[in-house]
Amino acid sequence: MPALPSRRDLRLDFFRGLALWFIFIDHVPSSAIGRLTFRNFGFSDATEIFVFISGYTAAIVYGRVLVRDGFLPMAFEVLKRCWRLYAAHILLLVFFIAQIFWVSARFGNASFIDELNVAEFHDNPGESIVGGLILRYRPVNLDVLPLYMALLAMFPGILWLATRSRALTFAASALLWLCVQQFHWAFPVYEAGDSWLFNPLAWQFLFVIGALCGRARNEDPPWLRWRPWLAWAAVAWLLFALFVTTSWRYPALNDWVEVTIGPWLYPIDKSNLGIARLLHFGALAYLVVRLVPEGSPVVSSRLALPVVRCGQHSLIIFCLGISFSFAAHFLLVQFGRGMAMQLAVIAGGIALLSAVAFFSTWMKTHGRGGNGEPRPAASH
Amino acid sequence: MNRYRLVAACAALASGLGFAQAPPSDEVAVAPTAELEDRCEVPAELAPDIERLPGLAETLAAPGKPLSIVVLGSRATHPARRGPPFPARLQAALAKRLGERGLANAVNVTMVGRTQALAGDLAGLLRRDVIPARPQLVIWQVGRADARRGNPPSRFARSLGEGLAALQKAGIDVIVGDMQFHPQFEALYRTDEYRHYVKWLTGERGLPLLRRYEMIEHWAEAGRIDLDSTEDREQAIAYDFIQECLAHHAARMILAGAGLTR
Repeated sequence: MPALPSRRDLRLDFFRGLALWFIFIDHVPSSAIGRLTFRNFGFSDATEIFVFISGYTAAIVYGRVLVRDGFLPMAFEVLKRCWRLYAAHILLLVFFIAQIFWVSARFGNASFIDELNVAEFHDNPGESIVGGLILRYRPVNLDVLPLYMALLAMFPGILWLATRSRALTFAASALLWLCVQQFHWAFPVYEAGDSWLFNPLAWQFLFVIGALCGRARNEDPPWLRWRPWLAWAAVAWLLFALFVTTSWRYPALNDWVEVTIGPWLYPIDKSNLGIARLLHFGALAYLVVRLVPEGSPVVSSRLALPVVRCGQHSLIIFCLGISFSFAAHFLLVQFGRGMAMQLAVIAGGIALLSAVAFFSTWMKTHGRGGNGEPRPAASH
Repeated sequence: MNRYRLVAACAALASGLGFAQAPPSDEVAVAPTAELEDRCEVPAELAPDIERLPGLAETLAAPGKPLSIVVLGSRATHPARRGPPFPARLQAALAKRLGERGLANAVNVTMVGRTQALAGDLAGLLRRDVIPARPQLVIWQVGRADARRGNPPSRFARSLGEGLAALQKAGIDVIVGDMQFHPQFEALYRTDEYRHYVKWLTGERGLPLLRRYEMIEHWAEAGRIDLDSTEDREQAIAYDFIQECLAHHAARMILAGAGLTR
């Protein structure tokens, strides 16, 4: 087996795993624990973490393929990955439609039943299925995967350009992002009004930043260097974001914020990766990279191992996380929403996710004749 | 029940035109105000005092002037299964309260909307059908169709903003109601981003916001309604409770906007 040169930066797996845990918790509605996740304390959320780390690891993994085999094999590998994402998305979609039918069967007299529009499936099942297959129908909760697919589809071009000129890649990406902010450029694929919940034209910016950071990881470029004044600016922005996010929960404070800060801060655009979110994530990443150095016990201890393993098998953990969140919701509906029940259900879900992640790692190390660390390239 | 079925049939027929008349108010029983205050109680911050709505105040100051209110929103497709719809309840609640204050203005609440309508569709309906009719008040009830159909929140906000701007330009008072809350719907489609935009838009323009989501969430958490029950009866009870209390709070808000509190 060819010796793979790099040591794996566990921080990537750790934070991706953490993002996946947050996604699971966030998808269980009306849970008190849902108020403790990352997105309640700032402007950015697990999606930013995901997209950035995915860009970073994609640059590493496919960068190697590019160097070793050339452009076309690299593009082919990317396409293979896209295909796996597509298959996962379709599976989730089927689950999702089943959930809709389950809910509509049990809550036929509830206020939301008309808005659920199950009749559309009944009346046009063929159209609905085809719509799902061609990604025309993208439920809100599942919209990360189509975004990821779109970003990966752009990736061979991004990587090629990055090998030529990083500055040009960054500039082109930034320009596209700016055009989205200024001119509301969208990504309509089917009809004129079809806009993606996560606009790939905007989110590519974070993906490209991640990719460029990934390529620069073994160097010490001036733009990634630690500068104390920048660190303090980052802390200030994070505290500011914490303040504003907290104000959303107290109407009196919220009114004050709306009048004083609102005019220039709002709206904070998730679809188009608004500047507030981008800066918030940037500030956080800048500080975390420094405060949690590569071999830090935070990410390499035994306690962190479940998180790390979940991050190493992100696709399957993401799919299971979305599915388990609905199961958790179902259990809370059936057996009550007391605090003990909520804790039990969420802890159980996380335990199950971790179990699947450990099992997946075990399968990798004991399959294909490998002994010891699993091949990092497989689990990007 | 037969009367409601007939009305529902007429409403279904008329829905193609986008208009439906609410049934006359003497068909909808309204509980005593004190009882509703108690039953539909919410924390003070969810029902703050609102600023004056000048058009409304002017209409109610003139004796006998008819009060015309349009409720804009996605229309329900199964009204026959439940009690009176929101516009009818609001009309009855307002008529009662005005009567209690000795005001004889006739109240007419009509519903304008289409099923599964996005904010953009409603803004179009607004410009085409509602503004020319010159009502004194428009209650824009934001629906969940945008969340269900994945309309990006920023586009949703733009359509909503354009509609609100058109209303303000035409000098028509407006109350915005955000989405309703239901945990089963939230499990399938998240509405957080959309509600943020509704809050920002109404805050930015200084418009009154009927916080339907938080009120229903409060009633569910306080145990007054059970939104987790799979029994038809419980769901119908919850639905009626929500509509009755929302009509109560909307009526209170309207009177507060007209400067007629207490």
